[in-house]
Amino acid sequence: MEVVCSNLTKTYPDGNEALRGVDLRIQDGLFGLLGPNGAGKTTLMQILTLLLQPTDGTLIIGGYDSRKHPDKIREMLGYLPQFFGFFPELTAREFLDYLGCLRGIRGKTLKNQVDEVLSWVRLQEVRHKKLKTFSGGMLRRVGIAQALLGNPKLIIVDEPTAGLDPEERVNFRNLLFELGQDRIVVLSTHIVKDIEETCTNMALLLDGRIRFHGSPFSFVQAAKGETWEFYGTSEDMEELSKRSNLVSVREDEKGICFRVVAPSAPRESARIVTPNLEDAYVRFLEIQKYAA
Amino acid sequence: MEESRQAGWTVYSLFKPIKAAWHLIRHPKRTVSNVVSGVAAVWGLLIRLIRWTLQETAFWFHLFRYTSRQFLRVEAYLSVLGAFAFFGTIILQDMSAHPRVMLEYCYIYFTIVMVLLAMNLLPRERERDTLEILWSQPMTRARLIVMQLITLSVWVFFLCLLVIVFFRRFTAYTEGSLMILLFVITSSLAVGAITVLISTFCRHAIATGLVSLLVMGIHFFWLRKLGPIEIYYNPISIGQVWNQNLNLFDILFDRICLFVLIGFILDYLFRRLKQTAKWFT
Repeated sequence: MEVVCSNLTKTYPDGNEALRGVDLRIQDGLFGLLGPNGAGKTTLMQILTLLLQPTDGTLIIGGYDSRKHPDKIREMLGYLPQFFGFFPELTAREFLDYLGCLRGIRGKTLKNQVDEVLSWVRLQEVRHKKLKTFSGGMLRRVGIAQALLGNPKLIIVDEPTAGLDPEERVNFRNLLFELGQDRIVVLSTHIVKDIEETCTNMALLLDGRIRFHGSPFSFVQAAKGETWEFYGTSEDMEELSKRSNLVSVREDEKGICFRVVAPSAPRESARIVTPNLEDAYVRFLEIQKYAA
Repeated sequence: MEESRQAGWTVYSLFKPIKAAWHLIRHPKRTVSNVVSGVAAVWGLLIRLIRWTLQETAFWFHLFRYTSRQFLRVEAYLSVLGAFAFFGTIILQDMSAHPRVMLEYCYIYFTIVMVLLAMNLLPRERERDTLEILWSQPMTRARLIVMQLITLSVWVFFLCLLVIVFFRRFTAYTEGSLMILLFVITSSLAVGAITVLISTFCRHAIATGLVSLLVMGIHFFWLRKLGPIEIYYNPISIGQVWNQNLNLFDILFDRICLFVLIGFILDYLFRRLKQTAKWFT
């Protein structure tokens, strides 16, 4: 199974160029799509789920061209959108039953699959409760359950952990990791931690273009030797907070600790630390900003 | 995949009895064995067809039930109450003695009910963010919308049936009461299709309702001659093919024309929905 995007372009009727020639090749495993808000992630997700047609370029999923065989592609696709809508008056079981029906699953097969996905997302005990009584995390799990119906080979999740509490976020990440073992899971997010913890491959989308495509490890390696930590005062904070290369600030017993990405030491007392994906991401955005 | 394989197998089994009959013609001496194999093939085909029909019926009933639960809430109860208040007033004013007036009011009332129900179909899905999930399913948008329209039309038909049975039982109203059911279900489908098409332009339920009612108002007041009641009493005659008094053929012809119109509306609607990136942005 493989997803191949070639020169995908999307221009909206108002002239907004959301995608400008995206080339991507995605294979089995968890694939992260990272980018700031407005980078074009949701547009790319909607093209991958065939909700939107690209203005130009080709999309081939599992050997099928999206323009010629949309139904074949939809059969092997599960989708959890950014704003997951549900029918509040239905119970979790009824909701999955309804969507399973729309997927063309019938009779006993449908009943068995609904039970299976409910136990997979650990909602078996609340299956007869109405969706309007569910918490945000439970609703996200219902969302992933509906995406799993029909055992799709490609699952697309758009900003799945937004608005979840830390425990739910960890649970959800683990669930996605399990799913990615035997299929393609495309995870679009602007939360760097989600990609760092789960993905084997990633792409960085900026201004509608793919700026990086590879493993998170190789992306992080680029920030090696350019991530610094030093202690400073509250005056330093005022000055540094105006700059975009400040990654984080924390306070401990020694004082206020600043973490910045820069090609050279920002202070004499600064020491090099091991970078993480967030450092690499901030460094990348900084470079792009100066290049522009 | 499973579904298409099953459909393919059903089509293949259709040829089995034909093959058996052909064999019987070619080898008349082996009659007994041919007849046995022919009966077995027909029996197998029958079982398969019955199973397929049961599965499809269960499937459509399933969808019908869920669609009804989503869309028939407060509006449905209000429609029933409204129907009895509306027709009760007509009967109290002794207007039910004039069947034509009764039919016209019936037509106007059920058109308004259909607009009120259909104006929510797409805008409500959009407001609840369920549109993306529904449209990413393997079922086509066209099939989904047709299914929802049929569900609403069937409910409007039941409401009309309830009103007719009630008023036939308790008043002297009789003329055209059965024919109105045919008018209501077909006209509801047309009104529903127009309303859903308008909703793709207006995008909000209330605006859709207002524009649809305006369009229907134009139809009632200026294009009444093309309305079903007028055509029922003065059908556009295309020849005395059927019973002269009933003009059933003419009425059916009128309904066929309406279905062609529904076809054009739905075709344009589906073309629009294919291109509506706006719905998600």
